[in-house]
Amino acid sequence: MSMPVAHYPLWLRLWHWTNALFFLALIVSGLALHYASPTNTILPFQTARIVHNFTGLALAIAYLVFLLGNRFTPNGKHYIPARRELTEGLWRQLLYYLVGIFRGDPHPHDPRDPQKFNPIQKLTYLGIMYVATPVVIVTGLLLLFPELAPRQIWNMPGVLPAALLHSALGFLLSMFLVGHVYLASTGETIAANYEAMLTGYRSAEFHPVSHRRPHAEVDANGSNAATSTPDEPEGESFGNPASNPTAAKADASPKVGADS
Amino acid sequence: MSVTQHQRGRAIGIRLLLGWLFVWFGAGLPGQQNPAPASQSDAMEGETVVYCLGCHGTQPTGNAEVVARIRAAPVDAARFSASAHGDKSCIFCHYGFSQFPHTEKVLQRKKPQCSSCHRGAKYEHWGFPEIKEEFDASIHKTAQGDAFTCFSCHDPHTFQPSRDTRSIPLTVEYSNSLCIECHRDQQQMQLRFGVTKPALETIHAFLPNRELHWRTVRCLDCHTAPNQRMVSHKILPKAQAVRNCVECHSQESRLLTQLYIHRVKEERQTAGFLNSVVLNDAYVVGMTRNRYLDAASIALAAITFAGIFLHALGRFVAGRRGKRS
Repeated sequence: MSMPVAHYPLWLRLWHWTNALFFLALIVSGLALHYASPTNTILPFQTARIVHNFTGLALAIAYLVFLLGNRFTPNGKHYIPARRELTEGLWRQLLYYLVGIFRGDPHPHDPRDPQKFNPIQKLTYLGIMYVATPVVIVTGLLLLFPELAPRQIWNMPGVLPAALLHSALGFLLSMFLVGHVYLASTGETIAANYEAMLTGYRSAEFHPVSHRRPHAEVDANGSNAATSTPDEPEGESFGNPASNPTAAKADASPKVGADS
Repeated sequence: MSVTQHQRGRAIGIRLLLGWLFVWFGAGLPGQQNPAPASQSDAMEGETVVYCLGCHGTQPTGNAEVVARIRAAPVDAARFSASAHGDKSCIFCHYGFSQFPHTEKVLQRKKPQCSSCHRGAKYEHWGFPEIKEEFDASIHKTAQGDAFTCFSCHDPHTFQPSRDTRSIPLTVEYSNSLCIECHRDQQQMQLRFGVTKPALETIHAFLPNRELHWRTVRCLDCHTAPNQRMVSHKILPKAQAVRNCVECHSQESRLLTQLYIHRVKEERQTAGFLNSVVLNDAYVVGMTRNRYLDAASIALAAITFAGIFLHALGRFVAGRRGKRS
């Protein structure tokens, strides 16, 4: 019986979940500030302001931890997309989410691959973590310290562009969070990705193939036949009905962990 | 006889010089026989301002008693000329004071009141009766009684009315200068009203970005009961001042019925901004919102959640079919 492979290092998991917590607090308090009204009961304005300022600063500090972690550990390399990933990889992943997942196609990307992220993940995380988040942090700091912003820009208050960018990007990041949480359920099993991010370990086996489609058809669609298994496990997940870790473990060969 | 510009300037210069010499040597005290600098009875009305400010508009030095009396009625020439009454001559209100030295009878005369002039149909649009009602109910009047008058805040020599044509930051700066003239200075408060108040910074410690608030909204916007004019004279007791942020930081902001009331009357839309009347002056969290961005965000959220629901439903159905087959 093979051991699960280490997938997410501890620092990354700690950062991920604290970041998630801060993010949720920022979304709720941000909505309360944006839609502030005497009748609004999301959160009192005074409380929302304190929560938003505090967690915003905490998220900025956590972001520095993320940057340092990526600088001094191998985790950073997962955010650099290869040219092929940006073309066919991206398309293949998108097709899987739009079509293949309903047909029970094999997942086109093995998360235990040295490339931990699939092309869509990689590109999205790159944009989120290296473009949107720093811009949201900088504009947030300008709103927190408005005296740092120019008094006037084009006959408008200097903080206005920062405020618009902050709320627009804050909203896009919120939508990313929703999509992120949902797409995490498209792993081998519904819970596989959540568990991996909690425990740091991922099952050593990968069962990307559907029991609904003949193997030959999968090959014809360009899926990686080497990672496919012809077994028909009694999957209990929806979307990826192929999974049956118990049955698969019997013939599993040692796999390489994506990252540790 | 027409007076040329040059001759007129010379005459004013001589009068100013004589006025200064007069102060310096302590002339003009009751009982003293020093000659007046000139006869004023025939002074041209327009010239009285220049003439009077020869003493009252300077920082006089010299005989202590004279200096003290002049300092009791100081007038800043620049501020006076920019004030609402800047086009009036001094004797328009201070009649009888053109005589110099001022006679005891004139000095003892009761000071003119605002209502001495500001009455009748001509001033109806200012709403002086309503102002008086508000003033009588204000904490200034109820706490200080008759010691507190219009002049306690509105020095008629510097007063500028709230104009809808003036920029909001300038309106805020001027309006707040009236309040902090007393409230900033503890000694002044003690001397004039016999009360001691904590420092403004201490009282307003709860206010986030305090300096920014002070720069962009008037003290009146939180410390008065709103009315349908730009200014309310009903200064509220401290406990009734606005502390609830959403009274301003919301779409229904009270600023729209106070500081920005004139702008609201000519409501305009700029690139889809709600409350765009404030857009040129300030960005206010919760109040300045872009309706297109708001609509786009709601649409995007709806698409995201609907997409996820349909996707999950599709996976669920596919999973069930897969099991059956």
